[in-house]
Parts: sequence; structure tokens; C-alpha cells
Amino acid sequence: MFKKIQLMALVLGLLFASSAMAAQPVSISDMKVDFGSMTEGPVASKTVMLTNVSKEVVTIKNVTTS
Amino acid sequence: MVISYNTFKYPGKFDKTVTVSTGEGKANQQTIHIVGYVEPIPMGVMEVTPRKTSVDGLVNGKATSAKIMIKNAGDASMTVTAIKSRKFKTTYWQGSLKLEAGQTAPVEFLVTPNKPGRFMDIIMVYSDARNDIGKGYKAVLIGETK
Repeated sequence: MFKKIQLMALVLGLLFASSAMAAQPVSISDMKVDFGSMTEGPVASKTVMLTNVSKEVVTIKNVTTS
Repeated sequence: MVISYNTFKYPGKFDKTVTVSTGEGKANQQTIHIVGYVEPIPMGVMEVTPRKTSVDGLVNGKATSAKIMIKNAGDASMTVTAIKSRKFKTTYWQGSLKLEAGQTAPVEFLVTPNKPGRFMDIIMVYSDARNDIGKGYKAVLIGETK
């Protein structure tokens, strides 16, 4: 009985997680960007790909840094 | 999307975030972590000693000479370019004074108090030193105006 409850909780958890992930209309190629070790001076740049995975037009409303 | 990181005058380990929003609220946000390490290059480091400099002989309305001692406490040369007054919104000194690593030099300029009594002005010393990220290095002038 306990194992059944555990299994149900796991399935529900996975369903919830997948639906939450699907809720994002944009897929980002890298959620962690490692610039590695650099020498001070220049401006370093890395590119990440943003893909619209929804069936509608998506607007990037804002990009902030902290 | 291009993520850029300015390494100049930002040495050391960094861990920052870039948040992309497609709508209101956290449910419409995704956060990208950017990490890395910036190896420092030799650079000058500004010091004004003493940080609070006393100016003698101040007379109301009269230009009086003030002298501050600027030290390069870094490991490469630095160039001092300006000294500005926060109180009077003026430039006290402008030029190009190169200081080698470890070198100390005086800089003289004129201050004109506009009222008798206690004088205090915050000055910003501008240079290419590591500890000046474009906003200057803060020092204080104090004195008594007759």
C-alpha cells in the first residue's frame, strides 16, 4: 500500500514537473553558461539560443541581470 | 541571445544571473547562470593620504591653494586625470599625471570657500586605477574659513 502511494506521488510529481516545463514558451539552449578562466581586459561574450517552442508568437518582454 | 561580461576592473570569480521574461510573474521567467573567473592584470590602485586633507589659510571668497598627496598602491602605473568638487560642482584640476607603482606625488589646486566657518568638500579623484570604475576616488578637504 505504501509503495503504491509512493509510486502515485512519483507519477504525479513527474506530471507536474513536465507540465511546468511545458508552460515555458521559450526553450533556452544553456541554463548555465561557463565563461571559464579569462584574462582581465576584453568584454567576453557567449551565445545562447532561444527557441520558441509554443505554437504562438512569443515576445521577450524583458532581460535583466544581477 | 549574446551574453556579454565586462572583465576590465572586475577581477576574480563571478556568478551572475540573466533573467529572461516572457510575461508577468515568476512563472514566465527563466534564469540563466553565468559563471567564470577573471585573472587580474597588473594595474594601479589609487590612494589619497591622508584621505581627509586639511587646507590651511582659507579666506571667504578668496582662492586658496590646497595640496593632496596621491599614491599609487598598485602593481602598474596609473594616470590621474581630474579632481572634481562635489560641493561646488567644479573641476579643481585637470591634466595627466602618471604615477609609477609605489610612487607618491602631490597635486595642488585652488579652492574658493563661499562662506566663513567650517569648510568641507568631498573631492573625486579620477584616474585609470583599479579602484576607479568611472566614478572617481573619494577624498575629503576640511578647513576653517575666515
